[in-house]
Amino acid sequence: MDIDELLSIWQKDPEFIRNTTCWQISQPVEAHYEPFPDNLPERLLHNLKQRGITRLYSHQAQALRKISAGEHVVVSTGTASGKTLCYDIPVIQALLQDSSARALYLFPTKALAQDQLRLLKDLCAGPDGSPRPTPAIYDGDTPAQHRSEIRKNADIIITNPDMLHQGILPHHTIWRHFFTGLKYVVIDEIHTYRGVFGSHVANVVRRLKRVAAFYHSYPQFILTSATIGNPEELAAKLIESPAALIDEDGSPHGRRHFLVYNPPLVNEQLGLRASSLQTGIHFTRKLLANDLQTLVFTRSRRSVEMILAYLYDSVPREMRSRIRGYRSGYLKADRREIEAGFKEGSIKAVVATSALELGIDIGSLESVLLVGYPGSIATTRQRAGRAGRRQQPSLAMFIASPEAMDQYLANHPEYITDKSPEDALLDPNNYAILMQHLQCAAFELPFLENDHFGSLPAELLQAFLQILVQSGVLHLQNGKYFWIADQFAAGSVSLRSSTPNVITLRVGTGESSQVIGEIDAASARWLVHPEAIYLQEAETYEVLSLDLEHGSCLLKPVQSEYYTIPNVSTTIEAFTSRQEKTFSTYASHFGELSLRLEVSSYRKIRWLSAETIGTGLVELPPTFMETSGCWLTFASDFIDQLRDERLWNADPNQYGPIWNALKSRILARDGRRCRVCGTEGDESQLHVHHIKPFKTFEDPELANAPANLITLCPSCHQQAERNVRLRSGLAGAAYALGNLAPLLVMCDREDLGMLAEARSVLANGGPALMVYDNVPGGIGLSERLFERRDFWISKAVEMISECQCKEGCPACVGPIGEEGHGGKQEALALLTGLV
Amino acid sequence: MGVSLGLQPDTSAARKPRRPIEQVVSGREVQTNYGSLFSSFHEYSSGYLLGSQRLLPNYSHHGIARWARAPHLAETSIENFIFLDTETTGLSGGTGTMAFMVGVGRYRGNSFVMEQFFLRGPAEEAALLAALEQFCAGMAAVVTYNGKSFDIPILNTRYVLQGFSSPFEDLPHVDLLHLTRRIWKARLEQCTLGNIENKIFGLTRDMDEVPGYLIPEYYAQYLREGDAEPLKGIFVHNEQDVVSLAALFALFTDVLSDPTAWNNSSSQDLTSLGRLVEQLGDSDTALSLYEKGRQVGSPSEPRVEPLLAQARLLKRQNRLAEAAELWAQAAEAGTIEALEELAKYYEHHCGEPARALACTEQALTYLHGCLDGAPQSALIVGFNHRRERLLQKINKHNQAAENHSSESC
Repeated sequence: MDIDELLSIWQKDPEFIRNTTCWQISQPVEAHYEPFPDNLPERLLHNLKQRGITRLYSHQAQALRKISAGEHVVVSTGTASGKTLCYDIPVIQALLQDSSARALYLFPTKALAQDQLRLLKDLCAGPDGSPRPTPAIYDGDTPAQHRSEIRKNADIIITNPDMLHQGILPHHTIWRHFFTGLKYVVIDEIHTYRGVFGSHVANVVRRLKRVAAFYHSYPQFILTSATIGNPEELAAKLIESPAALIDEDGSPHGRRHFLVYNPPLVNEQLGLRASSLQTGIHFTRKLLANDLQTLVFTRSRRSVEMILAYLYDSVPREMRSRIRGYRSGYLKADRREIEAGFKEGSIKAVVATSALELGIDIGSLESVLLVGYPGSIATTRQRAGRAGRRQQPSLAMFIASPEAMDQYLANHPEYITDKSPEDALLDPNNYAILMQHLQCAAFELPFLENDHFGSLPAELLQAFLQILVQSGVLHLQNGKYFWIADQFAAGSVSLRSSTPNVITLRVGTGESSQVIGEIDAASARWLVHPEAIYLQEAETYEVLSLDLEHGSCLLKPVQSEYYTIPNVSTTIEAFTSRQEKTFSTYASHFGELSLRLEVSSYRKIRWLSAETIGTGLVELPPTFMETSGCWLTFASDFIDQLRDERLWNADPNQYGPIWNALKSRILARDGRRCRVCGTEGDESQLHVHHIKPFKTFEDPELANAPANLITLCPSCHQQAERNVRLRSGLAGAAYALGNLAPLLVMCDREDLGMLAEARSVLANGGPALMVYDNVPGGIGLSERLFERRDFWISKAVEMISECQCKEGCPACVGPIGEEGHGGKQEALALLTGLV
Repeated sequence: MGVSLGLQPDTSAARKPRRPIEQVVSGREVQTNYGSLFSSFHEYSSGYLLGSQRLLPNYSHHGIARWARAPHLAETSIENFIFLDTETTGLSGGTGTMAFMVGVGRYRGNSFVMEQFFLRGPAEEAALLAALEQFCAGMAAVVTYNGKSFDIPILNTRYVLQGFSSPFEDLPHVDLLHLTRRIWKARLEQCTLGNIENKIFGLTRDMDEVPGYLIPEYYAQYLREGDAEPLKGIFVHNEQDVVSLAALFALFTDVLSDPTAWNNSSSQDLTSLGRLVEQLGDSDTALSLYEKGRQVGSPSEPRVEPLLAQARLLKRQNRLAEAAELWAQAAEAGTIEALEELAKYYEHHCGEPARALACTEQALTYLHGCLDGAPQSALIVGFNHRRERLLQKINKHNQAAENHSSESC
């Protein structure tokens, strides 16, 4: 049975239709083919035909034409549309025709480089088996004894930005033959180069162009990008030259169904919905039962394992080996095996996190399930785009979680389908990043007095170089800036902010000990703290010990009736205000912060029922992030004024003097049992919940009417609260400011952190809003926000007041749940008061 | 942009002395087609001794040429060997590391001459590289201490950056650090040039010297402040290094010219030299060096090494009986390798499983008694395996003997 037939059965199920809030069908598209250009070398034609490629898609042909006309090109077409050939063909052709020509391929990860090398070797293969041009990987994993051989003999060097930055550019003289012949630079997956990372990479590209120019090479750039809002602009920012955009996809696809599915209400009064995880499992089983290959994307490593565990329990034993997980933490070899198995079809379902993104080739498949919103429209489209075979119909289904954002999207699916995907932003002239790369560049080649650096004009460059002279790393003589410091400049500059330390996960000791995986040190604290239940490939392990210093974690296999969830907290440990501006209604600050990130305890959650059955303490030292931030505090009379106008809703609830007595009465009425799951308990173990939020009542007595009160266990309470979360004006204002900030300072969302506290140490216990650089040490993003606060706040006011929604939506103060209260009015009142 | 451009008025400059290099170090300004630079010249006569060592070799350099895998060097005049040591702005390498001083020396007639080319500022680099190339005219090989991985790659990089081609590219290279390690690593803890001077030539360096790790900072400070006085020590250090290089070269040239004539009473040194000579293909000389190594030295020095080395070589030459004698000597000291070799020899070559078993048992007793832990356990497994096999062989043999005797009854 194919997807069309299966969906036509589901379509007859009224329950299914009721929960499906969007069903978009794109009709099949025929391929637009063009013949190969007539000047392709025989050998390349032969190798293409060996792989079954006898003609080109129109976008590939167009790319080839633009490239042969000497233009820089950025190709932004769908997943699996054959973007690779857009650069492989012209590069191989040019290198076959000119044996001194060279090409550089940059991929964001080492895994992708391996994938590409295999394809290139096939396309370059000669009749005697030896490839020409010769491709080779040169990255951190390349053994030292092979390196000089590769430098000498390879025509196509495949590497990553980090290796180019630390391993190639600072040693360019031993690469002089390579740089002298450098004709093409391919940068794949440029959508990953955004924000702080992208700003670093843009500077590495400036250095690359500068070094190439020293050897009289001015390479042509060929870039590719997944679906983003601004591929052309991003490309131009990255290479500081216009690039011709190719985005008319000529590849064919069958009928595509895109569905948004909101799991049904299981408790209408409380607005509780069926779990999105369970719904995902349900549909995966149905798809598997019809022999349809399925990829399930979830948002966390833990949910990958939970879905796997539930799936294994509910499918026939022989199916289990054909369902696999895929996430960071698995061994490289296992990942390669899963990719290959999925591609050739022996594996039927893969449950994955974002680890499976970034162009990893798993072939095309019939269905993709997105369990929970991936966080951006661009990512949603990229993941959904994994579904779609040339001929057959395919399905991509987004299953909404109970969170406010997901619920908003379930009710307004046009937000995903009609709105254009997010722009990728970067700022190569960010002061902190630029200064680091100016030092690297000066190490590579002395700057001259009239030099420029990429698009950075000469007079600004001179000013920055003077600072480096003052600090003693450069020496100016006869109009040249010489690097004289005893430092390897690139050594102390890391392009990525995450730490590369890994923790090895080991089962057993001594000779029988076995490594089952590895995870990054930053995640280890909350994934494998002592006593945690760690899940991998649906096996459960208990963590016996975690040694962060030596990077090892000891586990033992267990049969566990529960899993664990850590309680992670971020608190402001210390702050120093460096600059301060006070106005009548508020004060704005810029300063240094120490944030304390801590896992102090965990909860044990029973499988299936999801109830909390215990807690434990974690004794791990906290980690601290020293960074800089910009924060706003408010004048108390301004808050009082909002309070008087009922436009301030961030105060804690005052349930009234009789609350404790009332609570006992309701507990007695409900038989000391959770009214949703039936868990029994005493007064300290059960909660009493306001069905309609307390804050939405003017009169506390009405809010406390017994009909509005219900007994819940803590876990059901948490879910119920999530559904009717009341968004305070403070949180709404934070959401709006937080969404605008990346646009103002040209960074990625993840480069900035946002904190809204009703009772904050930043304001002596009063309310405060804070944006901080989510990069250790800070890189000046929040400082620029501090400088541009007037523009920032007035833009937020404009954005909220112009938004067409009533109560709040993802485009202004944040999404609201069905029963929730958006806080739009309150947020607007708060921000307007600051203008 | 908020960038402060103003240079701070340097009030301290007036008080600090700014002595130029010409006032601090004796030398002269050299003119080249690419500008001028500062150079300091030194000459050492044939009688000069560095500690106990002359700078000029007594014998032919064919041995060292062979070691350098460039036998044609034996034909060239020794005057075409260039001794070189650089002082740099950093120790990390890469394009941002500059050689601000290059000390080069060569033999001229009966003396050793050297020049130290010095950058009064980085802009003089082209002149330095040109002067250096001029000094090296006719060069057939370069002699350094760790120059293969440090000095020469840096100089090659500097030539490329100045748009020249490097005279050192693809040139035969005698890196004496590698040779030093081969001979003395076993005996001396550190193979730094200073330590070799001290332990081999009996010389202690002057206190005036600047320690190596401080050199980049001294030069950077000189560029910032203009006072060359602190650089004096760097000139001394560099000169000393180049002279030591020549002395070490002279020593190795003589030793490799006639290895058995080496007047050395260290068993370890002779064994190490034997290994080197063996690798170069001269088995007979190696055997006599091992032989000598067994006889010299203090009783405290271990003698097992020359024994085993000699036995290994004899085994390779298929002179098993001679090797077995040496193994038997080494086995007395409980040497596992010797016991294993003996066991093999008795079992496979002599057909004496009982003697082989005795060696195996001895090895096992020794292993169980002295060693434990994972790396040795593989050894124990190996010996156990051998023991099983030998026991079976002996049993079979005994049975065969019994059968034979019963038949004859």
